[in-house]
Amino acid sequence: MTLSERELKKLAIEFVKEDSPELADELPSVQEEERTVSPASERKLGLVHPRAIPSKVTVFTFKKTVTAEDGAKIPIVTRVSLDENGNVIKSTGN
Amino acid sequence: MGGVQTIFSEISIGETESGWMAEKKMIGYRVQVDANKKLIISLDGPERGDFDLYVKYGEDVSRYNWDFKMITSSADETLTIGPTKEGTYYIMVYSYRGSGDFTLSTKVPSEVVELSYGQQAQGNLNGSKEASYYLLNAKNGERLILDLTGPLDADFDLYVRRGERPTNLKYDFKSTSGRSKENITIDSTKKGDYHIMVYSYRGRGEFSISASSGLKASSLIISSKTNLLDKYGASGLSLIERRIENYITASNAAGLPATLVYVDDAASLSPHGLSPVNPKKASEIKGLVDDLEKRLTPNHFLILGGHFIIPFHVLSNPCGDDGDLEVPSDNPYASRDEDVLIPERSLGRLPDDNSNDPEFFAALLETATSRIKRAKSSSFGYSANVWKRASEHVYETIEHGDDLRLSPPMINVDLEPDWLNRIGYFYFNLHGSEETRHWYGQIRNNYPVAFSPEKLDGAVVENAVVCSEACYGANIIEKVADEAISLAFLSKKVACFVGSTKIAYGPSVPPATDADLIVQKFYEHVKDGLTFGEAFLKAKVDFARETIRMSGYLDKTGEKTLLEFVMFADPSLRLEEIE
Repeated sequence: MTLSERELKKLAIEFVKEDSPELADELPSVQEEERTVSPASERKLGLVHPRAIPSKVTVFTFKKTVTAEDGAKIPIVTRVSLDENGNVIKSTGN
Repeated sequence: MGGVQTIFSEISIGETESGWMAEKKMIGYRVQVDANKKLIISLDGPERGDFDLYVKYGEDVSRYNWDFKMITSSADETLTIGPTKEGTYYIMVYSYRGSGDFTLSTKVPSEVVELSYGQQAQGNLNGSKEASYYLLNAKNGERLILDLTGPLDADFDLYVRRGERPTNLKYDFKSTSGRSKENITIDSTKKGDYHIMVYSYRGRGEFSISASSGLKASSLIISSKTNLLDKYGASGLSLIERRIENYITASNAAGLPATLVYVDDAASLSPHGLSPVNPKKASEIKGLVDDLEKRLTPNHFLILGGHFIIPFHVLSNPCGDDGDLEVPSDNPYASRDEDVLIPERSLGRLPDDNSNDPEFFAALLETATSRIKRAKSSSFGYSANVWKRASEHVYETIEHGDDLRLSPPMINVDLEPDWLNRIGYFYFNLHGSEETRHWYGQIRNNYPVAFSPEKLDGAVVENAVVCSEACYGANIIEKVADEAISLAFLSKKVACFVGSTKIAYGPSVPPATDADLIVQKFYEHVKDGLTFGEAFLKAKVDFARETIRMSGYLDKTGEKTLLEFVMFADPSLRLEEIE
């Protein structure tokens, strides 16, 4: 079942509350990515039989700036990628 | 390297051998080949595995000692070697990932022998009016030098024709001196096949023919004379040039001929038939590097200077919404085409700092000149507490001695300088920022200062390999050593620093992705004994393959990771571990 962006966003926010609670109050920006590998990369990587999963991935980026103990500003970012069915396929942050 | 000695079974030309292999195992073969043939070795492995082929002429082959290899992510590999030398080729099948049945076959098709730049072929003509034929596929604008050496008591000639096989009547170039030592130089080739004929006008015997650009270099050094002069003045440039000269002398003495090219200096470029470019424009410098590679075929590329001397390529951020507008990158310099995500060259940079005093840069050059990089296998790992599990997974690759330290509870003031001394491998997974010179720990909403450049003031870290996943960990633009931990490490004579120019990503738990994965792969290859340049190149290629294997594509954070990770090191050096 393909979920709407709104439904996906809700899932991403729930995930971030658990995984990166410091970003729980932030609203994410949204990016769509196509699950494909460019022919040039295939060639350079020698991917004879690259995995082809023609589907979309929605990436939610949560970010804010925090203040460190010495007063320096540090950017905090977490990106959560969900497939069309709402599965979290990747979570990465800095 | 220790380990079990590989046994090499005989395989004949035209024969197919089959076998079964578990993961990370190797099986050896040896094949006898005549001179001047094209040898094709084909491996057919299990569908879901990743098997590789390594070949060496005349002696046992291993993953670290080979002349030819084919290591795609598939288990099916084909290697074509030609022209062959007479003798034994040792073949190793290695199961990089997975296990299963495989077949290995060898064949020598009877056709024209292909010759390429840097190759020498041996042949034999059995009598007058006999000929042997070769084929060389040239690119546009290359210099091609063909040298033929035959018997003293014979008269062998050399003919070349583009697009068609020559005869002694129809040819584009010929060399017929009346002896058997002939030479043809084509100053600028056109794209296409050059057919070469070695012809016996009189006599018989063995001959050798070689193709080259005439200018051999194993290491290409790239810098800008104008920018060095602008920044350091004539006396500063003079000091730097003396250090570069020392570096080249040491490199040559170590058997690695090095060529210095100033991208903006006609005198430096004219021997290669090239013209100066604008040293402020990274795209022009990349074009020049592409041209230089065709002429010099170097194994390693060393950029001398920071962003002001040889600029980073400033690329659009693939993760456009994370706060970084652009990503400074050396990837385009390491790529042979415009697809700059996947590098193809062994490339590193020795940066200068932001001051007008040349001492920092001169010292760095002096450090690189002492080419032996020996360090203990001991390790120091330091991570933000929130990334404990993911960092421990990466740290396992190098862990030798102390456990991974976490911040908090560890903070900058608690760090004993002794802990940093005589360490071979440093691993940092801390927070960084564009506006600060410190790296930070984290637990919940607490971000203490975890590491500062001053911590290195009295530290003995010579020859160490340092990797940092901190955001902006390799941001050196307009910075000096006490403003950037990366430069502080370099000033303390570490052999290598790998880090990110912008916001870097990683998981909080294994498996390793993004920065964690690229650093993990780099450590693996350095530990395997590769040069820093080869290790960094292979780490990025492995990173891309692994990312695609895990998620089916190269996502935007993966793309950014590939672009933003840079290496500050001489790419031709490697670490020798000592106890």
